Order: sequence, then C-alpha cells, then structure tokens
Amino acid sequence: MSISDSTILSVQDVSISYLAHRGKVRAVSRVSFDLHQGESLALIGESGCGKSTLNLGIIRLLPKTGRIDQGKILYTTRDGRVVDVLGLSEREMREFRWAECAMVFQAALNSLNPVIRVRDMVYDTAQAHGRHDRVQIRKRMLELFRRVRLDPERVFNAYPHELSGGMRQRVLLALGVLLNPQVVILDEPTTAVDILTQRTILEVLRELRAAMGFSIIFISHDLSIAAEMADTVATMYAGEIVEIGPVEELFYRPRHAYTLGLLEAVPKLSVGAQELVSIPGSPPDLIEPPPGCKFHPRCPFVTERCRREPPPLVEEAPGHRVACFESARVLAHSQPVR
Amino acid sequence: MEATTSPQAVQSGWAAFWKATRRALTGYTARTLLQGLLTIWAVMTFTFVLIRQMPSNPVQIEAERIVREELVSYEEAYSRAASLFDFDPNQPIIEQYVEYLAKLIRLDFGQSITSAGTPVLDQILQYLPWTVFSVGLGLLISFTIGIFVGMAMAYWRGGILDNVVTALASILFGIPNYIIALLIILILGVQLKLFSVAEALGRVDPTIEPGFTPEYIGSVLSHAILPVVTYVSATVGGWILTMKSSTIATLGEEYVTVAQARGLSQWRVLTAYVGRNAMLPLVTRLAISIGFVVGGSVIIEDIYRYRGLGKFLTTAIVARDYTSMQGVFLVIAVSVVVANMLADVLYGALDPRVRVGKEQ
Amino acid sequence: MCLHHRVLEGKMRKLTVLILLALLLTSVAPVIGQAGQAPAGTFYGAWPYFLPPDGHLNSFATGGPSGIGLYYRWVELPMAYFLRAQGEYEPWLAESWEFEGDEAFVVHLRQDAKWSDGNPITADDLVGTYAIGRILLWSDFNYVGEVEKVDDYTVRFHLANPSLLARHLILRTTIRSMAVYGDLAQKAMEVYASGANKDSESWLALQTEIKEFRPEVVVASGPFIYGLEDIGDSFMTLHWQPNSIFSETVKFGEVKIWYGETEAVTPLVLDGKVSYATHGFPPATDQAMMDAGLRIIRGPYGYGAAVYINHDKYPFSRPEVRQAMAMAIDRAESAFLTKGLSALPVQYMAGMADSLVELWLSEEDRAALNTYPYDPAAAEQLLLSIGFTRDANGKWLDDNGDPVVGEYIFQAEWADYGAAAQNAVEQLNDFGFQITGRAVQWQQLDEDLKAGNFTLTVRSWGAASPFPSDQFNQVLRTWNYPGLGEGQKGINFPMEFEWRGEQIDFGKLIADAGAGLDPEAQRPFVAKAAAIYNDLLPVIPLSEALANNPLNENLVSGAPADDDPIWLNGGGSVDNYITYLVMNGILTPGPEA
Repeated sequence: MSISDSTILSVQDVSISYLAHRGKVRAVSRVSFDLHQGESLALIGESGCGKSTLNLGIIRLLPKTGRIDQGKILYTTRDGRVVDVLGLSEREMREFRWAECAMVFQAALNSLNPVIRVRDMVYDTAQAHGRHDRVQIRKRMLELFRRVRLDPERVFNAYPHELSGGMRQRVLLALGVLLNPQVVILDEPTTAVDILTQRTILEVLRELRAAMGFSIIFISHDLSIAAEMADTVATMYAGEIVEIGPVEELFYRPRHAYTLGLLEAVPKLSVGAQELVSIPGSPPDLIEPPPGCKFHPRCPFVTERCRREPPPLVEEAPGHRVACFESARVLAHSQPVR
Repeated sequence: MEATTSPQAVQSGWAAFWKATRRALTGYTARTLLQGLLTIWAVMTFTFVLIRQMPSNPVQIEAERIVREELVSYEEAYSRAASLFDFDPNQPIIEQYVEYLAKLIRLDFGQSITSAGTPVLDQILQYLPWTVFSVGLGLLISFTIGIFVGMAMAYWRGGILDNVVTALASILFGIPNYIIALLIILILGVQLKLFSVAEALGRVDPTIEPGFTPEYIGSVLSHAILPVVTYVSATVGGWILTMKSSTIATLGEEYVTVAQARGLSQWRVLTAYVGRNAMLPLVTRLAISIGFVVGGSVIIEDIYRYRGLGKFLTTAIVARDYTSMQGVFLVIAVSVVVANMLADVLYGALDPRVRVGKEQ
Repeated sequence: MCLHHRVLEGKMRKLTVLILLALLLTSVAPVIGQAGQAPAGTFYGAWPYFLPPDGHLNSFATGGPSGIGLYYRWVELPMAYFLRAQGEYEPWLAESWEFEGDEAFVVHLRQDAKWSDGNPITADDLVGTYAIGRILLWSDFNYVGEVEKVDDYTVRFHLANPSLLARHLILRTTIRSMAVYGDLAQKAMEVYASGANKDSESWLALQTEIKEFRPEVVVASGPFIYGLEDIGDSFMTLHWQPNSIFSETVKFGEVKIWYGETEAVTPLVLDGKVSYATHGFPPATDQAMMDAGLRIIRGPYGYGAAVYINHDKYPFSRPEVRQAMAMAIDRAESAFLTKGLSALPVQYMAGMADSLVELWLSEEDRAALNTYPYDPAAAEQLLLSIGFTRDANGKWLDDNGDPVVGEYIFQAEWADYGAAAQNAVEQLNDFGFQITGRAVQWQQLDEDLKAGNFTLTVRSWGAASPFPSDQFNQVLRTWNYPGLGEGQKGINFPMEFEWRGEQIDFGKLIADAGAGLDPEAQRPFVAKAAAIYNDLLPVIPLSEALANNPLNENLVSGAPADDDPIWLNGGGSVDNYITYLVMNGILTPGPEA
C-alpha cells in the first residue's frame, strides 16, 4: 500500500459493474487517482459516464445490483494509518461514512426525508456516530448553519419542504461537515438552483473549506464551476478517466478530444453562439463497448489505431495525464480557440 | 364559534354575527365538519329515497314468509303481516322523509318496521360492538402483518420470503372470503374435526354469564378466532402487496441513500426513513377500511353465524325494513365520514407537507 | 438396546391409548343431573330466530315466541292439531267443538290443562287472546263476529260468514295467558265495545301498544319454556316445564335451537348436530345429507312451479295453445331439474294438489280430467288443427302467420324456479316456439307480474292450505286482477266466460267451493272448478314441491316409516309433523342425544 504523505484518498485501479438483464454493465473501469490533503478534485463528463457510481463506490453505497470488481480505495486516517475502504467491516464502514467521508447529493431536493424535521436528521446523524450530547450538537449545527448563511433557529426546526432548494443544499452542506470529515464528496451541488444561489453555495463552500481544510471531490458538468472550484480536474468518459491534470493545464491545454469537445460545448461570453459545437453521437453502450478507444466513434481526430488499440493513460506534462494517441493534434487544435 | 359580546358587536348584532359565522366557517375545522354533515345528510337522503324504490315492501315480504313457513293462504298472511308492522305503504314519501328527519335531528332513529316496538338504535347497539370488535381486530392484525411482511419482502426482494409470500398473498387475495370461510368450516371443522362446528360458531358461548370474567372474555376471544382469521386471510394479501410496492418505491428514494451515507444504522433507516414513508400511502386505505368496519363482513358473519351489523343489515334489506336499513346506512355513512376526517388528521400528523397545505 | 427400545415403545403406546381413552370418555360422558323429573335428552333444532332486542317474549308481535318457527307450538299450544291426511283435528287444549248451525262455532276447553305458572287454562284466556287478535286484524275475523265466553271452559264464536275455514283457523290458534296479556285484552275489549273500527285512533294506538308490549316472562301451555336469558346468539334453549298437558308424554328435557339460515345451518346438519331442520336445502346439499346418513323427510308442500301466462298476449291467450304447451313439456324432467328428488310432476293438472284431488273428486270426475301426458305429436296435431303452421326451420307460426315468440322471466335468486323456467324454455323451443329466458330480481318479478308486464313467467300454482278454494285462489286471486290493486292485471285471466255452452262465473264457483259448513255440499263445486281449470289451464302446473327436511336418527328415535300418513302434514311451522311426534312422545332421544 504505497501512498504519498499528503494523499488522503487513493483510488487505485477500481472497476465497478452492474448486473443488468442483458449482461454486465461496466460503469467504472480501472480508475485511479489520488486526492491530496485540502485538494479539490472535479470529475467532469456527460451523465452516465460513471462519475456518480464512482463516488457511491467510494462510500460503498452502490445499489444492490452493483459491485466493485477490483481495485483498492486507500484512505489515510487522521492518525496516519492507511486503510483499504473496501476491506472495512459493515460496522467500520458505517463509522467511515459521514465522519470521514461525507457525501452531499445533487440538489438536495430528495436528499432530506420530507416527513422528518431537520433537527431530527441532525441528531440522527450525530447519534449514529456515538455523539449523544444534544446541546453540544445543536450548538455546533447552529454555528454551521450560520456559516452557510442560514437562519439557524428557523432552519434547525424546519421540515425540508419549508425550505427553498438553495437552503436545502446549504443545510446538507452544513450537515455534511458536522462531523468534521476529511473528504466531502459533492454530487452536482449546484445543479437545480438559480444562479444567485449557486454563487452563495460556492462561496460558503469555499469558506468552509478554508476554515476546516477538508478535501473535496465534486462532480459537475458545469465546467465554469469546475474551473472555479477545482485544483485538479478529471475527465471521465464511458467509465474511464481519459484525462486528468491541474485545472489550468486541462482547461487551457486539453489533450483529449473529449475534453476539448466538452470545452467547445460551453457558451462563452466573448464569442457568438454560432461557434458552439456539440459532440456528435451519444455515449457508448457499456455492456459491449467499442474496441480501441471508447471515444473513437465520436472523435474527429480518429485514426485507424484508435479503432484497434485502447490508448494508455500517459503523463504528457507534469501532473497531466491523458489517454489519447492523437493528443498532440488535439492540443494543437485547441490552442487557437483560446 | 366565537362569542361576540363586545359593545360594538351588540350594536350591529347581525353584521357581527355574520362576520363571526363567516370566520368560523372559513376555519378549516369548521369547514370540514360542515362538509361531513352535508355528506351524511346527502347519503341519508339518497338512501332514503333509493331503498323505497326497491321492489316490494315489508308487508309483502313478511306475507311471503308466512305463506312459506306456516303454510297458510297469501291473503291471510298479508292481513296478519300488515297488522303486525308499523308501516303504511300509501304514505307519501316526502311526508315519511320529513317525519324521519324531524326525529333524526333529535338523534331518534325511529323504530324498526318489522320488529315493532324495537328502537333502531337498540338494534344497532346490539350488533355494532361485535362487528367493530371482530372486523376491527381483523383489520388491525391484517394491517400489522401486512406492514411488516410487506416491508421485509421489499427489503429482501427476490428472496425466499418474497417469492413464497408473493405467491401466497396473490392466491389469498384472489379467493373470496366466503370461500375461505366455507373451506375452514368444511375442512378444519367437519372433516378434520379440529373444532366443533356447532360450538365454535356464534359470538360467545351463551351458557357463560356475561361480565368481565376470564371465562367470558376467553369465550368472546375464542369465538372471534374464525371470523378474524378469515377476514385476515382474505385481506392481508392486499396489505402485504401494497406495502411491498410502496416500500420498494421508498427504498429507491434518495433520502434513504443519504441516510445510509450519513452512517445511520440499518434499523434506524428502516424504521424512520423507509417504513414510515412507505406507510403513508397506506394510511388513506386504512382509513377507508376503518370507515367500512361498521358495515361488517356480511358473508363471514353469515357463515360463522357471527351476528354483527353486516348480517343485521342484510336481514333488514331482505325484509325491506326501511327504518332499520336507514339506521345502519346512517351509521356507516357517519363512520366513513369520521374515518376520513381522522385520516386527514392522521395523514397531517405523519406527513407535514399535507398539514401546511390545509392551513393555507 | 434394540430390546430396550421396543419396551419403551410398548409403554408409550399403552400410555397413548390410555390418554386417548380418557379423552374419549370425557367427551362422550352423558349429560347428567337434569333438574326435577325432566326427561333426559336434548332435541336439536335450527331456526333463524330473533336475537334481543328484536327478539322478545311477546308472542303477538314479530320477534316473540311466535318467531321461533315450529318450536313456538312447543311453548304455546293450539286448541287442536290438524291431521292433513285424514282431514281431521286431534284435540289439544280444546276437548271438543261443534258448529251451532250456521250461527256459531263453539269450543270446549280441557279442564285439566294448566299454564306453567300453575293457573288453569280457561275461556278467559281464549276470549282475551281473540280480543287482542281482533285489534291485530287477524284473518279469523273474516268469518268470526262476536267472541263470547259461555262458561269457564266454553267459548262461542259467532260466525259472520259461515265457513269451514273458521273452524280451521280457530282450532289451530294458540291460546295466550291472561296473566301476561290480561291488561291488553281488557283494553282491547273496551276499544271494540266503544264502537271503534280499525281506522280509529284508539284502535291504532292500542295496536301499537300491543306490538310494543315486552313481557318479562313467558307463561307456557306447552311442555317447554324459555326466558330472554336463554336466547344466545348461536343457539337458544327451551327448558322442560312440568305443568303442560304434554309434560308427561314428551321425552325430551331440553330443546336446543341453533341459530341460522340455510348456509349457516348446513354444516351443522352435515356434522350430525341437528335432530331436524326445516330449511329448504338445495339439491346438492340434499345429496350430501343422504350421503351423511341422514333421513330425508319429503312432505308435500301443496304447491309448486307453474308456467304463468299473460292472457293478454296472443297466441298464449288461446286455450289450445296452453293445452299444447302442457303436452309439449315433459313434467317428469321438469320436476327433477327443478328440485331433484324433492319435487314430483303434477298428475291431475286441476289447479289443486294431487292429494286433494284424490280426497275431493270422485273417481268418475277424476277420470274426466285431462292429465296432459307428455306427447309432442298430440300437441302438434292440436296446433295444426287451429290453423298454426311450421315455417321452413320447423318453428311455429300462429294462424296469423306470426312466429310464436315471447320472453320468459324468472326469479334470479330462486335456484329451483329458475331451473324450472329454463327447462320450460328449452322444451318449448325444442317444440318449435321461440321463447327467450331472462332472470329478474324476485321482488321485481312480483311487481312485473302484478302489473301484467310479462309474457311468460314462473310462480306457484296451488297453496299449502288444505282447502281447494284456497288452492285455486292462489293463482286466480293473488296473481289475477280480482285480487290485485287498482290498475293491476296480473295474468288477466277472465273470470266470467262461456264454457261448454254454459255461462260461468269462476269467482263465484270457487267461492261456492269453500262456502258453508258441509264438505259434501262443496264437493260438486270443487269438481266443476277443477274440471274448468283442467280444461282452460289459467297457468300450466309443472311440479309439486316436496320438503327435504333432514332427520338425524342418531339424535332422535321412533320416527314412523316413510309411508306413515303423518308425514303428509309437511314441514311448515303450523301442524308440523315433528310437533305431533314430539308432543305425543313418539319421538324419543336417539342414541347420541
């Protein structure tokens, strides 16, 4: 179990699949990445590319039909021990969840039980981790609510439906850091809220992170948010990480045709709408994926080799790894755009 | 209604009264009550007219019975029946209705037609408790089993329990309750002699002095076993299957995953997040069932000679005893309306979203 | 080890046998310790009796002792018991009786009869009973005027309308104790003496008072008695009492009456828990009861299924068509399909029960009746003779060339009459008619029948009454315009017509057949009415219903053989043969009672 000093979570060669009637769906294949102390990692990609599955896999809450076929998820505890999350017992796993690694789900619309008050969910969470001092918990929770700019008393006693979408998202965010986890996974944290709320959420997230120093994995298909929040960005396509690198590198010098496609699909204020390009075709079938590079049927840079041979993930610049035979052409193509 | 005794109110008495009334009427509770009363009145009026449109009348039916049983001529039977009943077939229906309504306002249900001198209320009080006891107990057991088994099946979906119970529940769900009752009597009673078809039937052993004695209560409970078992077997399948599908739907909800992600124990997730939410859609069904408890389970009561309100109602219908029928229908209407109000309250208590909706 | 095992097994077996034996003994242990000199043994009846508050102890109102079926007459005795086969009365509370010309009917009560409270049964009780009965509009008063106490044991019924029916009604009336009903009887006499009539306020008020009266006890004249505490929801119990004229002769100390209608009583019967039941059991149950070793008593009812015809509908209004129909329907098949073994095909087709035909008509008169044997060829000849023809498909066309079509409605709830109707439709269609059957809710069918809103239907010919006039009237008054209300036509069979060159007033003829006190004087009228009925067939009788009352000979012994005339008395509530057999001590507890 080799792991560098500052690495808090090391995902090594993880594959996850679902059993469907037609066969095995390879939702995540052989994904590896390291998350460092205080780092913010953004996972970007189209829906269905395996981002959410990967995250559920990390806290082992896959649906019944899903299973982790191989790999390791190494986690460094606060006292410096390294454990394989996949080797934890059910009990240990329960402890691990939320206390070590919290997960804030998409939009929070359905993430809170509609018939239970916020405070009861707070106490539930604390009690599940052996914290029974209600006065203390309440104090801390109110403080966190204040930090995420909520009216603490009102929200604490409210039912979920009495709160707006943005408020619910912040409740969940505050709840997520209640137990002071080292890792917070955010699954589309700003998807279903308006642009102003989005800003607020991003701001409080940044403040919380600055104050508490947790690491973040977040999933988004909103590249501007990724650009703003992330230190590192990983592009996922068809269950694989096809490109990973520092945010500046990846956005300004993309070397994978898919990353480039994602960037070109984002509207920019500086230019007219007519230059928007969407990626032709649709994501591949994960039960019988295409041979070679899985992106090749949609790729404008495709060559004969791409159709035959899967490209390996190769470090082409410091910290910037890419799985593309034609990365040089992609890089060259991407430059005039900026 | 709020009292308006302030000086201003006295000065403009009517206006204040009107205002207070309006305020009270727009109150949710008052509105619900009024709605309930209107419903009951409408049902009462509707049945009043309807049952009198049924062919024949009490005297003719009784005359038929006398002819059949006592082997006398029809004319003799008719004149005897007519003198025994308090029923004038020629009285205009509107007159009967006004008379009935006037009595009803004073909570007087009138007297039975075919059992002259017996107040309908006494009849209902004789039968109602037994029906409420047996069917209510059956409903309670059926619902409880349904909730737990349904949830367990959803949780271990595809397991042995799920497969066996689904098959069983579907079969039970499809067999009418009277078939179950007859099978129990004929197979367990007459064939296997597991119980005496003579003594096990009825509501209680009549040789035991009524009272809060162990013998009497024991006899009441043991006599309720057959009807309750039959009722439960005929209805539990429905509860199980509904609870199962509702639980499956709930298990797919994100807040369940989130609760697990928060590290909550399985038990806590199952009770506070899955069970409670999965039960919500069943509450309405339960309330409706509770409302119809008083109607009894006619055929079960008939076959087990368990004399409850359902059996009484059918007897009254066959005899065309308008006032008795009317009384029972009224009790059923009231209980359905009350049960529905209760369901609203209960649903509100269980689901805060509904509560707010009502208040707005 | 093997040996040891076997010894142990032997011991176990012995123990098991012992336990079983002990269980068996306790369960079979006879009921001992009956109070006083009450006979041992229980009679197990079954009846859908009334449960309080509907059930009470006022035998003048529904729900009282009179509501417990045939067992009522085990509690309150009538003056006499009618033996149907002989047409005679056996004296019970009455000792003797006679007509005083056309003026009065006099009853002499037994002087040794006592109530259960020890008081003698006297003329006051009988007069009081009738005083209340008058207020309740008993049909006896169609014939009776004043009721006069002659002495303590003699009562004179003045006849307003001399009829043998008066005797029949009076003698079979149960007498009530004035210890219970005395006040009401007193008021009844006062109201009657005041000149009030049945529409007067005082009369109606007293009627209500009588119906609402709830005595606390029963004062019985029969050998059995009960109180409210004996009415349970699953069975009620009658106890023996020592003061009745039958107390010494009855052989049962207790009567247990299971509650229930047919469906509820059937398993009890099959399980051997019922001595005797009068419920009408369907043919399938009938077979199951025979398989269970029960004896089935098949007493005649005196009526049965008939094809009812709307005489406004051509061509059914033609007598020849009805005669042809009578020959085109196989009545044996019809009877079997209607009630299995519990129905017989009608033989004489005279509008009265076959047993009554034999009792009332001379051999010569009987020979003159057309028995309409099953003969489609003869039926065909008859139709051809009145100008009917068959079309290419063999379907009948009437003399106007119209097809013989019609709807045959039947009672949806009555399995037996439904079967009779469907079979009749089938047989008539085989013959070449075009009849369609349709099930109708039974009370609705009665309304349709009264309104004349039908072409063909099924209902009863005949009646349970032993009087021919009652038998004729079941069809000709109850379901025909003379007995129906304003605007109702029923079968609309014309009651005045020319028959064999003679002008007939059928209503008067039938009335004459029941008028007066001399059966011999009635006989020619009966014969003539029967002959006319037989020829014109206002309805077409198909079968006569028989009861199928199960008798469990494990629970009762001493029942006479099947050919004993007592069985002709039938399984009704009044004059039931079981009542006769129990009161006279002929029926005794069986080996398992």
